[in-house]
Amino acid sequence: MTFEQFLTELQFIMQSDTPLTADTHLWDIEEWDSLAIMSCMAWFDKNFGVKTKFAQYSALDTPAQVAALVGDAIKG
Amino acid sequence: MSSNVFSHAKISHISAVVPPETISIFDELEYFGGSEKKAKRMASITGMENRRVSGPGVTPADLCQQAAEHLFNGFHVDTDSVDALVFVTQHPDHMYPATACILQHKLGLSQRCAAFDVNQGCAGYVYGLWLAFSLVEAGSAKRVLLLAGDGLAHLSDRDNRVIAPLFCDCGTATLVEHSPEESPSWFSLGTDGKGAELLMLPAGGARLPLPRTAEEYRPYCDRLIDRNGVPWRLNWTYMDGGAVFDFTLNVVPNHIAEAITYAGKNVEDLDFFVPHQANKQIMQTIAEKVGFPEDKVVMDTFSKYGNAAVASIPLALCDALHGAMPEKKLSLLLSGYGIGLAWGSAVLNFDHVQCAGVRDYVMAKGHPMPEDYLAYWQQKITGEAKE
Repeated sequence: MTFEQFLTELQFIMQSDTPLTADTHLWDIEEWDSLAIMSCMAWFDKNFGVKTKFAQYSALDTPAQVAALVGDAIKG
Repeated sequence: MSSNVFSHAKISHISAVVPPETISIFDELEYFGGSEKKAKRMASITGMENRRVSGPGVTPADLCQQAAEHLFNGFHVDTDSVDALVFVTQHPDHMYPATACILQHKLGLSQRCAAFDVNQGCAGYVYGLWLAFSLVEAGSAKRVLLLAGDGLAHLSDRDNRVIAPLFCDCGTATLVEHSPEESPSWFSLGTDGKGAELLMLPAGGARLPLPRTAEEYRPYCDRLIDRNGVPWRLNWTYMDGGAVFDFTLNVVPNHIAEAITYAGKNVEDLDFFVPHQANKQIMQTIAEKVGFPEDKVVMDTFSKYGNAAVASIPLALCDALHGAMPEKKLSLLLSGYGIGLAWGSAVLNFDHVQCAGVRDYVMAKGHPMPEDYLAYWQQKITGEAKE
């Protein structure tokens, strides 16, 4: 998956109208909430086989940092 | 993991009763900043929409009593034929005696009937079935009345949006009885008490006992605000939702896959998967991981009624399969998971199970309100009528 595709999918699962970039401050977006994080966890688990913990996300601030959770599966 | 196979026990009848009062999240837009769009997003992701909430004075035991009466009266079941009554709940009428004893009397069951409570939550229906099947298989009882009911809808502040929109009240009744024909069923149960604090009602038991004075009681009632601004009280439900989601994602799907394998089945052999109605997001995630197609998963009950905790699986059965159960022989997978942490799955044959469906609770004339009950006890002890 390219990083652009990742950004599009992340915005979709957040159900947000706010376009994302690599450096967007996620916590400034209202839709980056516990529901979005849980959806993200399920997505990573299902599509990349990567298990993440809810608590990990509190330390992440940008889509680039979130993408890093799944390592090389997201390129670019 | 505890795993058992039973061969001569079966479910024969089932019913559910919910309060008639419904609260919709769309009636609570003040908690979404007045935005219907935000409420729709919540409904879209979690399935949260409506929840049934009891009025004052109605307890899970009341709802279960009426569910049992629908079975006894509607299907002409002889109350003397019930050898044991198991009441699974997190919300008994009193700390003691067991509410099952009170229900034995109210339902007019025989004095030769064994009656006891089981304190379990979202996995509790599977635990209760396992107990009931064990009693029947061992010959300790020919017919067991399993009552599963909960009442968590009131155990949070309305502005606690982690808990308040989630839970509903419900009571269910299931009859488990001896099957002369072979009817195999498979149970798998598990526990991880390390996660006990993830879902808990901290005060009111022996660890934080009911205080002797109002002054001592106050800390139990104080609103404690967490870092996300969510209000909690020690005498109401506490939940760490993120950590509970970790559990449902990382433990539950593997458990369910193992339970299916233990039964010697695969997903194609099962007619329906009936998961605990935690919320849509959790059910979808689990079902996808285990490999169930969406049309085999009973999921919509949550949006119609809410999360009924211990009663959620039998409520889902009565809601979604009330037409199919009496007509067909169904192979079902039931899975409960949550507080404890505890989990359990059962692969069962539902062979023409009689179902009374989901009915609204009808309050009897003269049903005592909490203030009536308080006055009753004051008068009972002092011998004086309270003005």
